[in-house]
Amino acid sequence: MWEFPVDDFLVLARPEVAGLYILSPSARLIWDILKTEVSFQELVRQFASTYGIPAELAEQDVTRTLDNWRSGLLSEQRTLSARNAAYPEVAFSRADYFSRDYLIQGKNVRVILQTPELLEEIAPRLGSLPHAPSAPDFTFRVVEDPDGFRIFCDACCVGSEEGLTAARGVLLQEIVRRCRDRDCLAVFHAGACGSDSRCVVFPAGTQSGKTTLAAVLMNRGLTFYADDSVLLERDTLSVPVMPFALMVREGSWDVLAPRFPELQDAPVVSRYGQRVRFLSPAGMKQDGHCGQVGAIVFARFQPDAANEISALDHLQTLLRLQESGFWVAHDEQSIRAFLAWIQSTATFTLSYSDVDQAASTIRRLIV
Amino acid sequence: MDSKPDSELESGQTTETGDTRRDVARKLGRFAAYAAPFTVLALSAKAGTSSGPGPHPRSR
Repeated sequence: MWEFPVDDFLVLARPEVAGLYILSPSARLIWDILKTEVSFQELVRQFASTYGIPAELAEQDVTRTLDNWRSGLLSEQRTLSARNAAYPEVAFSRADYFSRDYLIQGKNVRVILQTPELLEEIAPRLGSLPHAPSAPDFTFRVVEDPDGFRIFCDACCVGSEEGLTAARGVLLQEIVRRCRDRDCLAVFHAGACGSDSRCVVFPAGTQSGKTTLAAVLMNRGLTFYADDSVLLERDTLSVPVMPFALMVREGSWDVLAPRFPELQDAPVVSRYGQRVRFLSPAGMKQDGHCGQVGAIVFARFQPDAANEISALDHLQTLLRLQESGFWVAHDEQSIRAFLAWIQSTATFTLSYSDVDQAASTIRRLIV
Repeated sequence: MDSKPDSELESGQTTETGDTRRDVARKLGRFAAYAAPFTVLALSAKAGTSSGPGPHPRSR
């Protein structure tokens, strides 16, 4: 078990289980006492004494916590999969449906898609990228199999996902990672915009306004880095440009069309019953990276909300990241580096009903 | 050196004996407010970072 104390709470990770266990301060106390190998009754006594709470309440909460740990944290489960690594060679028997070469982050990349569904999901994101001037440095291929989708870089499987959108996400992440030849410390389900040297990352769940906020920030002069997956590169802690088209849902067309007239001319695409358009503004940065994340902002659109920003502590930051979705390289050094990065980065929650006001607030965190 | 009261220690700062604010508070028997313990498993998966619903191939 790897242990990472953070402030008054604790993060635990098991080498063979994907993910991080986040223990609240009182759960951490139970963990700390448990490690001294005292009896259950002594554990409860110390717990009750430390907080000055009734013994009955302490026993109830300690029992519940230990039961929870037995079925999770301390169970025999093994969830890390070697599925990807055990797939070094593959025979691509099925005919390719789509093949095109692009220039991405200074590298020539060939993207091969096997089915019409993959084409519909992925090709619009690549539509505005320059065509590769010469033979590909890398060939990425997405294939469908009975378990879902596999993403290959040349002959190596670099990801496998059950769902189509997840496969698209991992493909785009892997393309940028390979082209820049930088490993990732973490990946966030988030948008990111900023100056050339400093950006704000805004994590959020699906359909919560990341793309709209990113587009408005771009329209107001900030550099666009990502609207869906933010890569945090190992060692440098920089955020690379994800130079792919933004998918704008119909509900945001009215907000964005006056700022991006080209949006009205973009084809309407039906995607899982929703109408969307893809936007690749002229002048969008195509390569490079931002050297520093200046702040993390959990921005939430709420009708009638005032534009309010407030600081978050580190425990709340991790819990919010868990809600929006993130990935951290699963080794002790990486998790430690990630938690140190979290502790050194200012984090806020922002509620807004006016996206322009939200953009102004975010701009002030950068400039 | 006597331990500083917890209110005088910044988060992460330690006394000369290596005690954190949390350690000092525990020794003094002063955890300010009790909140029921909880443990959250933050699943770490790149798959969780993609937007939009996606049909599983087996469900099509």
